[in-house]
Amino acid sequence: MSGSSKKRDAVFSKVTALRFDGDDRALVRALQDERPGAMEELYDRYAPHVQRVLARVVGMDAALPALLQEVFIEAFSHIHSIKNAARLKAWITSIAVFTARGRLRKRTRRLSLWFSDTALTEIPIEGPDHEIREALACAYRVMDKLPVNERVAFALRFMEGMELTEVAEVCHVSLATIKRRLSSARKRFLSLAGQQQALLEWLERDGPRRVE
Amino acid sequence: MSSLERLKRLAGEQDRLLEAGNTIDVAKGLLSFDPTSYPKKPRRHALVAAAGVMLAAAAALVWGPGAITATANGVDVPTGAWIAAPDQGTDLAFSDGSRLHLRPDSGLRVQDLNAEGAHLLLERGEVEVRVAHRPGADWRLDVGPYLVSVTGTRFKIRWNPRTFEFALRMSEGSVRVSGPMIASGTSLSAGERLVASLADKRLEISANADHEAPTADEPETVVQASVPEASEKPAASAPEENELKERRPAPGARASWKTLARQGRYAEAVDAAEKLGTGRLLKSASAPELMTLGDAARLDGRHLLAAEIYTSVRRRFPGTVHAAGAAFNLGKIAFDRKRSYAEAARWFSACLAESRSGALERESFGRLLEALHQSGDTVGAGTAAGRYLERFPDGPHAPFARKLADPSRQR
Repeated sequence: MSGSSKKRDAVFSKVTALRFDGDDRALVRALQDERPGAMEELYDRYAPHVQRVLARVVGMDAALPALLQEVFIEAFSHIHSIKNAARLKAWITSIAVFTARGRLRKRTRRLSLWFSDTALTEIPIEGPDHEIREALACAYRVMDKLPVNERVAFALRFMEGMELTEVAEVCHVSLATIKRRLSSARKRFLSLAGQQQALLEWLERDGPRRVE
Repeated sequence: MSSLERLKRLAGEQDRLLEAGNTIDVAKGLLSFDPTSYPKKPRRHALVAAAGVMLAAAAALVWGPGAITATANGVDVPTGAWIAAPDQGTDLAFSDGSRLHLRPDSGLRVQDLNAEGAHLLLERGEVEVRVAHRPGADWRLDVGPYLVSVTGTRFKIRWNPRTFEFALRMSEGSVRVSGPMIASGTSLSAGERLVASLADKRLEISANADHEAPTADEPETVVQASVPEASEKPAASAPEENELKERRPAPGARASWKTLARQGRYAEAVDAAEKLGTGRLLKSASAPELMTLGDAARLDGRHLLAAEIYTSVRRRFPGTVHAAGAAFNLGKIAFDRKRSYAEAARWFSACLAESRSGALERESFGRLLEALHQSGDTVGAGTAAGRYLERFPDGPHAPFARKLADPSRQR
């Protein structure tokens, strides 16, 4: 190896990929052009959001890591079909919602064959957080009793705090449909919550427990 | 505030649980970021896809001519069925003569039944597989991120979706396995064993100690793939050996500490581990196993033991996601149990510095604000609050951070 090539290799051996730096439109272009680092950037940028959406809808499900992967595999496979790059977040959220809905339906089918609750809500109740965690577990027990479409809308609106228009967009239904589903879900949830004492007490308590 | 608006506070607590779980980092480790790994196809509209899934499910119920059938305990098992094994396990019998035994506490989904074989998904646990030899047989098992392709053979396979550990022991024939660390696939023959720990990025293929090779105190390693991450790795394959043995208890034997921990029986799990010898486990167990044990001890209120376990994780697996998670839990113990807020702040800072790719970052950052505030470090808390708001303007600690950053808003 010549001296110059050794020098060049020494320089290149120190080259590291720069982190992708751009808005969502630029990121979509980079993904569609298969630029190095773009896929990882999509994951780093949206994995926390996707994980949150999945968890809001399905609860603390043991399958969350698999669902998270499933969403990104779907996104990576279909990135060329995205029509409005500026709506990247809504697009990946809709994939997450679709994936979560599929998980809920599979859980429902599973219940009809053999019942095992080990993969369902798993919330460690402990120490000073025990009241809020018990309320959280109760909330998902109640949500388990809602129809899937109502549950999805309810979780996105009241747990995740999404706007009505956002919920409609990621569920691929009209605003009127979402309003109807939410109205029904709200009535059912409040009615069923009355049977969960821990949840009822927590929902009706005034003021925050933890640091605000 | 209406009662339903208070649900958002529950969501904040859910975020704490999520971020303490390291899911994002672990799932990232399982994904390929190579564009050539993904076929490019237009995304179906969600509604069209949903309709397609329903049509496919309906079509699957009407099996084509020649498709094999399956039964479990005399009950027909249709495509799409999810089977949870009861305490004594369960057997599946297929019309082509193949058999499966699903071990206790395992879950398996029948993805497809067709003329050539079946497509199964082991969601968790262990299954013993005997696929009947016949021309054109084509069986596939999805096991976490791994795909096992089978023509006719006998083997055991295990998947733990919590610790991301995969193990396969061959008894007869051969299979082909592909997945993380063996993307191009590898063949395994009778007498070989594959053990992969995705969290530790470690994969070993070795002679199966149970299979006519009784030399094997030191099984001959055929292939070993390792991705350096921590400065220290668990010693050899001892943890996997231990776990495989624990997974096959003698009739009437008590459940292993890991099973008990998974079932939320924390006190019993810690008692069982102590009977095995926590000193030995601290030296030989893998990082995910130690984190499970540490969590069981913490949730059972044995904080001294939990702290010892987490400290061991940090000493043995520095620089890993587990070390960062251990720092976070040490911070929680210092904050919640010892009321030692300055110590808690140090642990949350360590976690923050070691968290990669955002996992635990927001949670440890938020808890750091609380710890600094409680310890009376007003200046440090204010500075950290400003940084928190830049990083997570809508984070669960954002209202608290705004108060810290603007002392005039504090009561």
